[in-house]
Order: sequence, then C-alpha cells, then structure tokens
Amino acid sequence: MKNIIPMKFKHIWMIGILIGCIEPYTPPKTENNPDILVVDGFLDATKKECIVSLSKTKKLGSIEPLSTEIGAIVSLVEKGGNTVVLTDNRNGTYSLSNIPVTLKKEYQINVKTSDQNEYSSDFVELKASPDIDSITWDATLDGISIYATTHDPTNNSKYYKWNFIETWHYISPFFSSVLFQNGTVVRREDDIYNCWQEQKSTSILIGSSNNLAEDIIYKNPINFIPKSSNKYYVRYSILVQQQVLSKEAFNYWNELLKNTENLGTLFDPQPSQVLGNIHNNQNLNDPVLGYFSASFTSEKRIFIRYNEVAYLFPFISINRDCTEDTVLLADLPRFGTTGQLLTNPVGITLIGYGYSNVGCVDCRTKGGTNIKPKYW
Amino acid sequence: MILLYRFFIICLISSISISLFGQQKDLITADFKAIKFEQFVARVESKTSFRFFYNPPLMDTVSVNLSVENQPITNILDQIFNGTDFHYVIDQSNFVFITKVREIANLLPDGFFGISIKGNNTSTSTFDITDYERKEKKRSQTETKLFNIGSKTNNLKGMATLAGFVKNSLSGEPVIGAAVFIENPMIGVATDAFGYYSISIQKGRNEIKIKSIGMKTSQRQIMLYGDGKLDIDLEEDVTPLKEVIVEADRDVRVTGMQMGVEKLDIKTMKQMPSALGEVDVLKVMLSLPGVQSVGEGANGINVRGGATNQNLILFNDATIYNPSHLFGFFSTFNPDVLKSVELYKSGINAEYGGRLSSVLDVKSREGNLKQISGSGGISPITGRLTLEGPIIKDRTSFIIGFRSTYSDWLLKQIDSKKFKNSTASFYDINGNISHKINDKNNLYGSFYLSKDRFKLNSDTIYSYSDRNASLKWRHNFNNKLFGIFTGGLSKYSYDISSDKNPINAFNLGFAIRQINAKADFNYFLNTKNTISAGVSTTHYTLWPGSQKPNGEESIVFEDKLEAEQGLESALYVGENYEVNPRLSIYTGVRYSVYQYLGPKKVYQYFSDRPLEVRNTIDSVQYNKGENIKTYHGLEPRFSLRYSLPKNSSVKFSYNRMRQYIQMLSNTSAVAPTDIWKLSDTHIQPQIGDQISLGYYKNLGRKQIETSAEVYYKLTQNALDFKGGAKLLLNHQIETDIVNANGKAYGIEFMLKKPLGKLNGWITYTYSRSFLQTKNQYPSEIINHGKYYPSNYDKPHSANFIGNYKFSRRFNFSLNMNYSTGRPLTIPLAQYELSGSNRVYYSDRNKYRIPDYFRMDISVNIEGNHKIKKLAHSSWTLAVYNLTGRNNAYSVFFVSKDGKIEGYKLSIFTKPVPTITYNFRF
Repeated sequence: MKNIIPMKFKHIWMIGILIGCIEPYTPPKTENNPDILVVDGFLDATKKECIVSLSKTKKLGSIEPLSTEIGAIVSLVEKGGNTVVLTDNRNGTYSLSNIPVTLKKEYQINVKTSDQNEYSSDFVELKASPDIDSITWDATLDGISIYATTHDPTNNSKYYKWNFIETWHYISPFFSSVLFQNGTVVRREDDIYNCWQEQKSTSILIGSSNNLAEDIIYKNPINFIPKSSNKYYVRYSILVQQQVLSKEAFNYWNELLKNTENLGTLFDPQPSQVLGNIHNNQNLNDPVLGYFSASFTSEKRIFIRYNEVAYLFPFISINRDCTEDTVLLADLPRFGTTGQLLTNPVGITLIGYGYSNVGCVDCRTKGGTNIKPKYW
Repeated sequence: MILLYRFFIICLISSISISLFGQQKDLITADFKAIKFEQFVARVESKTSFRFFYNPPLMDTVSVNLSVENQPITNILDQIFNGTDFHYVIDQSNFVFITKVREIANLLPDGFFGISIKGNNTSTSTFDITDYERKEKKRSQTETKLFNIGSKTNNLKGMATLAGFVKNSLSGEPVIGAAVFIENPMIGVATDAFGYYSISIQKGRNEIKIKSIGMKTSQRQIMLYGDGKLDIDLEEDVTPLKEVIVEADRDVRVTGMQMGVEKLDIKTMKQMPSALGEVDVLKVMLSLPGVQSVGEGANGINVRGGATNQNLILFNDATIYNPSHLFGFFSTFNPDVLKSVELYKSGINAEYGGRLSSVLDVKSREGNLKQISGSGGISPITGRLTLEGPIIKDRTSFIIGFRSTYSDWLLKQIDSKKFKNSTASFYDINGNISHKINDKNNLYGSFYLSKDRFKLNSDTIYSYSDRNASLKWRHNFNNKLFGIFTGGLSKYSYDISSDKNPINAFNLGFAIRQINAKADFNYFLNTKNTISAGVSTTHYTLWPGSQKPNGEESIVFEDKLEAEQGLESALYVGENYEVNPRLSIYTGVRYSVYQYLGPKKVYQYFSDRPLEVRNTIDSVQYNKGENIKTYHGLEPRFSLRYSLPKNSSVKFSYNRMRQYIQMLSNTSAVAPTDIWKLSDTHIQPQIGDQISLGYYKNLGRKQIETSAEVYYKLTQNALDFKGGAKLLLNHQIETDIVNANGKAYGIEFMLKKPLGKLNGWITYTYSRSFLQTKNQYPSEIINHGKYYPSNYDKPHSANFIGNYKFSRRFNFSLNMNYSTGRPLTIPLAQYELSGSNRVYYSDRNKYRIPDYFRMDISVNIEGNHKIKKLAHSSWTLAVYNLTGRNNAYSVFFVSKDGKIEGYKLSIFTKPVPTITYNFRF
C-alpha cells in the first residue's frame, strides 16, 4: 500500500464541518489543444495478445469524439528476438494475437505514425502474475465492497494492477407476455424481462506489497456498489483481472491516480505532468502520454445473489416511477403508437390488456442485453 | 460642606500623628428622649468641649433616643450611628466630624514622614478609608515623594543611568512597551519584554514620567546622584481613558526605528471577529498587509511572498513547528495566556535568524504576583481555562492555560453516515513560571504542549504534537548592561496509524527535536547608543520517517530512515545609533554556521546527470559526530529612520537571512504530514535578501496613522518538487526535489485609526511572488525554466477592520477581506487511457481560482464594570462569512466514471454563527 496516505486523505474536506461543499466548476478556456499522442499498450501474455491504442489529446471539456490515430505502423519487439507488426483495426487500435512470448524477456513497442514521427517505449520485462487467491466482499448498510486478495510466494510480483468487468442481471418492473403486432395481440416469444448489463472498470486499481515483509495483497479494494445502485437486485457478478507491474509502471499509475482521481481534499498534491515510458525518438522533449506494459494475467469471477445481501437491503424498489394501466379491448386498435408496451391480459374473462411505458417493460432500454452471458 | 472639607484639608496639613482620644476626659450623663440630632448636638456642645461638624440636611432623619450614664462620647455616637452609614471622627481638639458613607482620615497615613506609627495606634478603625482612596493616596504619595538615587554627592555634573522594572501593581506582571521619559530635554525609552528600562539622563532633580496602554500614567520625582535603580509599579486603568492610549503608542510607527513590524496586544485581537468563537493570532495576522494564506483552513501564513516554513514562530522563545490545530481552523495559541504578538516582516534585527521571511514572536503573560485569578471561556467547539497567581507573593508567579475541543462531540452530533467514524480533537496546555531571585536576577520557565488527533470517516488516525519548554535567566550586570540566557527544547512529531486491514496495519512516524541555548546581551552605551550582541546554538535531531507494523497480524516491515543531525550556531552584534534627533541607524551583522553531522549514509550521484535514483554512484557512511557538510555565511542587517517634518518619516532596511531547515510539502496547503528536512550535501540552505522602503505619516493630531512600504525580495535555493514527489519514507529524498530561486515584490498601504470610539484599519497590498527552477535537466525543470507564480501569489489584497464602541459594555466590529484567488494549475487537455478520461497538466500555476471575499461581524457584550465582583463575564456573538459566499478553497479535476469533472471546493458556504462565553475571576 504505497499510496496509503493520499487515498485516506480523500475525505478530509468533510471537516468543513457540515459546511464544506463541492460544486461543479467550469474551467476558463485554455489555449489550443496541444495535440499530444497517447499510446496505451498492453501485452497480455496469458492471451498471447498485444493491443495498442493510439489517440490524441483533445481540449478540456470537448465533446468531440476521440481523435484516433489511424494508419500508423505499430510493432512489438522482443529484445534479442523477433519483431512482429500489429494489425491496424482502422479504429485507432492495433492488435495481434498468438504472439509467442517468453517470461522475463523484455518487450518494446515501436510506433511510426502516418506523419512519419517515430515513437518507442522503454523495454519492459514480461512479468508473471500469481493467481488471485480470492475475491471477497463485505456488505454494510452503505453498500457492498469487493476486494482482491493475492500473494506471490516467490516475492517477485510486489506491484499489482487490476481491471474488472462487472455484469449484473436485472429485471423490468413489469413482465410482458403479449405483444401488439400488426393490429393484433400475439404471444411474446422473446424475453424482455431479464437483462444483463456489463461495465468495465474505469478507475485505476493498483496495490503494492512493497512495504510488507511478504508479497501479500490482502483485501485490496476493487469495487464498491452503493446501496442506491440496482446492480445487486437480482444477481451480480464481477470478473477481476490481475496483472503485475514493474516498479516504474506502478509509480506511473500511482501518479496518474493522484493527479486525476484522489483530489478534492484540503491537502491535494500539486498537479503535475505525468509522463510514461513512451518517447518521441526524434525529440525527447516532445511529451508522449500513456504507458506500455507486459504481463501474464490471472482472473477470477464471483457472483453475489440478492438473497445474500437481502438482510441489509430488504426494501428494494424496482418499479420506481412505473405504473401499469389497462387498455380495454375496444380501445386496442388505437394502441401502440405512443411508446408503450402491453404487459399481460386483464380480467378473468379478457376485457383488455395491461400496459406501461416501454422503459418499464423492456429491460433493454436500460442499457443491457437480454442475451444471457455464457458464464451465467 | 465647604467648611467641612476645608477643615478636613487643614487637618491633613496641620495635624501631627500622635495619639488622640482627648474626648475620653469628657464623660457624659444624660437622657436624650426622641430628640433631633441637632438638639442632641446643642446639648452635648453646651456641656462638653466637643464641637460638631456636619451637614445638617443629611442628619434630618437621625433622631436620638437613649439614656446614658458616665459614657464617653464615642459610645454614645456608636449607639446613635449603629446600623447607619454615618461615620464620625474625633480629633485631638475634640472636633467631631460626621460624614455619610466615607470616613475621614484625620491622620496622615503610615509612613508619610517615613516613620511608621504602627503599634502606638490602637484604634485603626478610624483609618478605614475606602480601598480606592487608599490607593489613590499611595499613588499620589509615591508620585510626590522624592526618590534619592545613587550615593549622595555634591557632584551633579554629567549623566547617570537609571534602570529598573515597570510592573503592574495589581498583578505584578511586567509592563511591556511602557514609555519611560523625561520631558525637558525629551529623552525616553520603552520597557522591553521584561518590563525593563534603562535611561541615561542628566544628574540632578528629574521628573520621570511613565505611560503605557491600559495603565494609569504616573510619574516619579527623583534626585539622581549617580547610576541607580528604580522599580515602578503602575496601576491598571480600570476604565481606560482614551488619552492614555493615545500617549502610549501613537508615535511608534513614525518615530520608531523598526519598519515592517506589526505589534498587536491581546486587547486589540479580542475585538476582532473570530471564526469558531476563538481569538486567533494567525487569523488576526492575516488581516495585516503582506500576510496571506493559501486559503481558509490552511495551516500557516505566507509573509511577503515567502513560504509557510520561512516564518520563525516563537512562543516564549521556543520554536513552534506547527502553529495550527484542526487543519488550520485554530491556532495553537490559547488567547487567555497571551500577552502580545509581534510580527517582523522586514528590517529583522540580528538577534533573530534561521528563517527567511518573518519572525512571529508570541509572548505569554506572566502570572499575577499578588493573588490567584483565572479566566476562561466556552464556545460550541472549545473550552478553555486559565489560572494564575503567586507562588511566593511578589516574587514568584505562575500561569497555566488549558484548552480543549469537544468538536469530536460535535462531529458525532451530525446525523450523517459520513461522520459516523470521524473524530477530530485537539488540546493545548501552556504555562510559565516567573521568579524574581533578587533585583538583578529573574528566572522564567515556560512550557507548551499541543496535540491534535483526527480520523475522518476512515480507519486511519492522524495525530501530531508540538512540545516545548524553555528556561530563561535574566541578569542585570549593572544599569547599562543586562544579559538573557535562554535554553530551550522543542519537539514536533506526528504519527499516522491504521488498523483496518490487519495485514497492512501500520504506524508511520516523524519527529524533529531541537535543543537550543543562547545568550543575549544588551548594553546601553548612552542615550544615543545601544548595543546588543549574543551567541546562540541549536542542535537538531530529525527522524525523517519510520514505519512499523501495527498489530500482530500485520506483515508491514519495519523501515526507518536514518536520523539526521545538524548544528546551527550564530554570533551577532547590532548597534542602534541615534545620529541626531532626525536620523537613527541600526547596523547589525549575524554570522551563522551550520554543520550537517553524522552518523549518516550519504548517497553520491553522477555530477553530470540528473539527480535521480538511477544515477546513484555510491554511498558514503559517516560516523557519529563527523562533520558531513558545513555551510556558513554573514547575514548583514541594516535599518535607517529619518524623521521628516509634520509627523512623518522615511525608513529603509536591508536584511539577509539564512535558513538551514526547511519543510517539504508537495501539497498546496500545509498538510499535517509534511516533513522537515535539514540542509545536507545535496540540499543547500535557503538564503533570502530583502530591501524595503517605507514612508510613514500621522495625520490629524496623530489620530490617524498612514504608511506605505515597498519591498523587493530574492530567495536562493527555495525548494520545489518534481511532479509526483514522494516525501514519506523516501531514502533518497534529494532526488525528488528541485531547487528554485524566488523573487517577490510588493507595496503595502495601511491607514490605521488606533483610537477613539471608531477604530480600526484599512490596508491594501499589491504583491507578487514567483519561483524559477534553476536546474539543467528537463525532469527538474518546471514551466520551461521560466518564472512561475508561487502557490501563495495573490496580487491584490485588501482588508478592513472596524470597531465601534457603542458604550463601554457594547462593542461592534466588522471585518472584510478581499484577495485575488490563488494560482491554479489547470489541465491543458484531456485524453483517454484504459477506458477512462484523464487530464494532462502543463504549465504550473498559470490560472487562478475565483477571488476571495469574506465579511465577518462580531458583537462583544460585557457584564457590568463593577471592579469588585465574583467574576467578570462577557459574551461574544460572531458571524463568520456573513454573506455566505462560497469562497473557493481549491479547484480540481477528477476522472469519475470515465469522465472528467471539474469541481470547486469551498470550506464555509454559509454564515457560521458562534457564541462564546468568557469569564474572568
């Protein structure tokens, strides 16, 4: 836990005793976009795959789409070994699979952009990653915290980085068994009641055992699901991926973390320019952003069912702002144009159908898919 | 009545103190049956030699109804006046004086002619004049009495030196800054911090006058035959007359030698509106020109573009490392114990050294020498109590103050989960003992202890404490020479511990200790010349950081940075010389030597490469006490005052300071986890030069003081940090530091009305402060090697402090504070990395956070002003940030859920009302 101190200062602003407050702030207009190249590269030795994405910085607050760098030549070099060229996916990413890799060998990426600038990363050693020992969770009244625990008996790993993909199963407020189609009501074949949504981690998750006598990471915080979230309403799953960093890479990510995430305290560090291990070969003073690292990865998935946390969150309300009404058979011909969906037949003898807003019936409108993931 | 008074005066003048009671010869036998007093008098006068003097209308109500047989007149009168507030007195001529309420003294007081008549007077009851009159008399006696000083001689040619202490007659405390002077020719001096004065005047008959704030003006008649000593007791002015205040300090700004000094006594500070219900020394300082802070709630002050660690903060001569409690919302000085605060911004005398920017000299009071008394107060956040009194009456006294917060309780009252696990508390205790060994020797002991502990919605506990003690011995060699010998010990430490994660549970610690000794001498050569000189030495031991496992399960390994040692010694001499009544010059020089001492492992780096861990060549192990590196240099100090006609003057000063210990902080505000670092092989001492020029003028019968000061300041080897510097547990901290040169300049205007029903001041300051990295490698250069604004560069700043006394019991004050927002580094661009947007920062401190404006008010309501009552109390109602403006403390940009969000953090967003109850007994 190298970053113990800054992390824990996170809440100090609260001493503004009942009075401190954080408001949105719109920065003054800065100068022109410096147009700096961003190289985000990772050699995943477990998957034998290398993905490099190239993009450019944009003006702060700009809503323009990411400006990607297309048409560059990206190659991966093994020190004293082969050089392979990555495939240009024409979307700013460059990738190659089935790369033969060797543990402890050093790798480098070279980038030659279409404007003939050449960039190289430092050589980085391919790190092994120990298995994740466990992914555990604690639930409190505030929400659910998820942790990763790992250790390396050889004491070689020391610096870890995690990513995760979380998936959660959720349901619509109203089940729909019928469908209004071409003027008639037919039985609904597809399931728009059960959906699964996926989200990738966006925060920098790093941990270090550098100041410990053994190479152990015990319950490093990975994710927090606040009470207000709907992710745990049915079933939740998280896949945690772990990679091992070099000390330099750890410092880079830690620095980026301090500069872009752990802010808003009374004792914020001075923001600084965080530069990685990629350089412009022609001009060393030209800043290049991003980092290239290489590591084996290990991963672990866990599931959390609602009934495991139900004792803490007994009153969940899935049909916030949703109401169901009835359309009589006679009115049915006029139904169907107003963004509403039928739910179920109404009456012992059919007098009409229940209906509600699309958003209350079709779970896909909330961003998920109704295709059950393979691992579910 | 007139007759009566006239008679009284005649009695006083003519009567001689011998036993009286002539009336005892006349025994009376009579039957007074419900007669008026007048008739009673007529009957008694007709039968005896007694003659009555009284005011007939007053005696209307008195009737006499008694029967006596062979009774002395006193018995009869006692019976008549029993239970009334009439008093009588009978002199040896058998004149009977009757008064209401007050008694008449028909004798001169004890010792009026230097002979005590105690013992041969058995009826002291007749001397029961009221306390007030007794004091008045004693005062007028001492004021008219002629003191013979020096051995009597016929030779009254030439000068002689008179010296002594000026003390508060009630509490025995020294009176600081009292003016002791003779009027013709005008020669005057002011008492020093011990109430000591020394004045050289023409031998012969002189009238010495003594004036001071809040004290009654007094004088002494002296016959000066030679050098001698005269201690003066001044009475406190219970209802201070405005004139007295005028006299005390009115000319200091113009005629005083010192420039760039701000002196405030506790009375002034108590009138100012305060945040959170406490008088706060540092907050008051912030209302003065040239003093700024990074933001409210930020520890420390920035004086004239200097960093917070460049202020020498002394509390009774002991160094304070962290003057703030509770993240800077309180200063560590308990207002009840304080006497005065002086801030030197320029023209710093050679006596002081070790820090570049300023000297903040905080002095506590000495305890009451006469009786036990106390004071205290309670506000929603803190409670405080101070006790003082004599240990040996008139010789030894103590004062001890304790203050603590119960904001811990406050945090717990908040119905929010966010504060569920939060605690924040502090306390401080300070006290001192002063002992008068004899006329020539005084001993002062002082201690200070402050501790803070906080945990905010997390499992990590932070605590820090400042502890120090000092012992001071003042010895008067003779009237012209005195010396002060001081020894002190200061220790500052902090500790961070966490036990939430049993495997990672840790304890982190930092500590610094300094032991210092110094000797200062003051020699009054003659009226025009005062010489001061001294030596000092300070030994520092610094434990830069240690890490320990916390708990049995923890596998945190022990890591301890090697301790550092340093020895800073200095020698100084300074001379105040009054060339002529218009021109005064102070010339001083301080020579300081610093040694960085072993045992220590020192890393060596390639000299032609950037100072980075990977460029380490080797390390050298030095033995205990071995000298690793020496720095030394001269620090010249010079000030000049030239008086101009019409109550105005011009002053100029130059000073150079050297600083061998610096604070390392890479946060914009001072964090409790910042560490101090001694200068070493790689980190050179900071050197600061300042020139300053000022013009001072008093307007309108000296009622309004105006001043303008300009300064220019250069700093060498200021410290700044590489991006992402790691300060804690860094074995090679020099690799994270960049050296910078600083420059600061500014102009300060002040208009002050110190007195009157309406008093206060207005200031405006324009100042800039810049840094420039001077290294040669790209990784060590900030902003392309150009000057960039320092964190505390706030060009425009204006303050208003106003006080209006509606009555003696009701006082209203208003404080307004404006300044440009502090510099801000704004992201130049954003980019995407690992699925999240990130920001790219470039030029440091190029932008600013929004401007700062705050208005506070307070109302002081005093209880009645009867001198004698159990306890005096007062209420202070204050509202901090009256307009409820959301002043930005900081602006920051974070990546949240993959997006960049800009935020503004404000500490106080609403008016904060507080009510404080203060008492004195």
